Amino acid sequence: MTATVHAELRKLLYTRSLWLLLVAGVAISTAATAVLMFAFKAADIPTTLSGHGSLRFGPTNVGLLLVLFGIRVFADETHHHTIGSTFVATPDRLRVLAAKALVAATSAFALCAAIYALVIAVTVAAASARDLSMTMDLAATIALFGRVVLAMTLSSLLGVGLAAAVRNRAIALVGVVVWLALAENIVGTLLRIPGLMPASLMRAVVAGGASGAGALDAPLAALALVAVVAASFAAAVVVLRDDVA
Amino acid sequence: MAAHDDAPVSARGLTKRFGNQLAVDDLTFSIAPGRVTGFLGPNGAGKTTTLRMVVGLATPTSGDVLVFGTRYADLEDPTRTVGTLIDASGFHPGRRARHELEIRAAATGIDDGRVPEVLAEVGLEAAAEKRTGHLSLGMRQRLGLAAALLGAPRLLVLDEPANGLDPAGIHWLRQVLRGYAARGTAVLVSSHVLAELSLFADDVVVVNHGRLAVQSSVADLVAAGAERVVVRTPQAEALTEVLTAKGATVTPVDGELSVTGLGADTIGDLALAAAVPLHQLRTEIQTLEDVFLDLTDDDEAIR
Repeated sequence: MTATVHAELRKLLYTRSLWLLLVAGVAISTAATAVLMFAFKAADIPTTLSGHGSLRFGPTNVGLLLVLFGIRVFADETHHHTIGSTFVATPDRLRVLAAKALVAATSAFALCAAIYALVIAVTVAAASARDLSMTMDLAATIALFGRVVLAMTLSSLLGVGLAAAVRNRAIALVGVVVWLALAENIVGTLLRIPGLMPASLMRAVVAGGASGAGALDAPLAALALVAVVAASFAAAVVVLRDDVA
Repeated sequence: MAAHDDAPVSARGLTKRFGNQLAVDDLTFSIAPGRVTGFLGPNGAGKTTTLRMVVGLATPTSGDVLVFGTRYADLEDPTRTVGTLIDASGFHPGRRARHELEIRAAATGIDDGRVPEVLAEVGLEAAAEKRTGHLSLGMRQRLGLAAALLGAPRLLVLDEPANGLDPAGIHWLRQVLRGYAARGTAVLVSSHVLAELSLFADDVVVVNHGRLAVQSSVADLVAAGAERVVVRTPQAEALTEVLTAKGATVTPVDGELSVTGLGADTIGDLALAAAVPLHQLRTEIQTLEDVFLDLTDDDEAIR
């Protein structure tokens, strides 16, 4: 397993467009924080650190980025026909899937940690420079970080599972964007279960409580999100038995 | 040939069906260590599907194929046992050539120090830092061969490795593969181009429409097909009747009769006795190409 994880880490490090996706996430979050803290009126800036919008990731920003990242971790292999050589080197396909999931989850944690470090640094610096009043509620911020890491890790894993199940990068990428931008609201409304849709679950986990009408409490939302990810991996396990094209 | 249990590759009743299409049909063959075995057949004969089954990328519908007596998926150290080149386009275009090999080395715990060695062996040292998307097809073939050689395997399974190589590259490839065979490595190399294989293969497995057409050493195959007499006569039917009665195999080809199983002298005597006039009688030495064309009945695909 160690060798397989090592190979997957190298794939991440040696593929510019993949790690640049993560770097872009950090850069955008940090830049947005800087704009908020230095350009917005004091009245528009939250007074507690845990209330800072830049630390509350959602399904349409960092969450989406991590789903797309997870998709690429697996689907780049099918897209560029490298999956064959991967399975020749490691015939145990579940081990490959597990290694990719581990790399995606670790990357999600690293991304969250990097964004938190930079956003908090910029926030503290700006608050000091502008003499803004901001309560450093560390306990609440650490709890928020835990929920964010959980939601974002599950997002990246969902991407891996979907890509392995679909085995087509374009369909997986476009499908996820269309789902989050359009289809989830429609489907959730039609089925009358808007709170059980993946993006709603992600929001509920990050919020730490019901985030809107029909939304689940955070623990239930986290369990439901785990179930969604598990379903994508179950489908992936079935598909992985197929011949490699 | 090696016994089924320990041969580098042994297939028994190997069959692969895609929906209604039978890609590989009850294929049984084995290859021996220290020899280059050409896996020949027209396009669509089932060569790539068979090789994919050898290395576990495709599952047989029935039958089995073993590598050194074991299913590929059950090998303890697959990359150090089998070097594989199945798809020369199988590289991420954004990664450097060296990185592609380092990834494959990491996957099986091979030291990175082996990477420059195999790059040098395939003549790609200068391209080590190039992104694979910028490599020509011939260079990607060389990179694929480098990847196959990484683990210093006992068996090489190569699917059309000469595709995209120039004549000098094909000459180089022949020497490399012969060198590995001389050191005891079993080499199974597929091709639909007869000329390139006939120059360096020891044995051939010929498939056609997914079925085994013949497995033989190249020398035996040529020897078996060497006797062919071409006859031109205005009474083809009468002569065919006379010759087949004597056990010959007679095939009409372009207004002539191709006869195997009898010598030219005997055919002349029989024709004279039957009062069949002959306009031409000549013995032809069959080339390996002629033999393969006869075996595969697909003149367009074999060149």
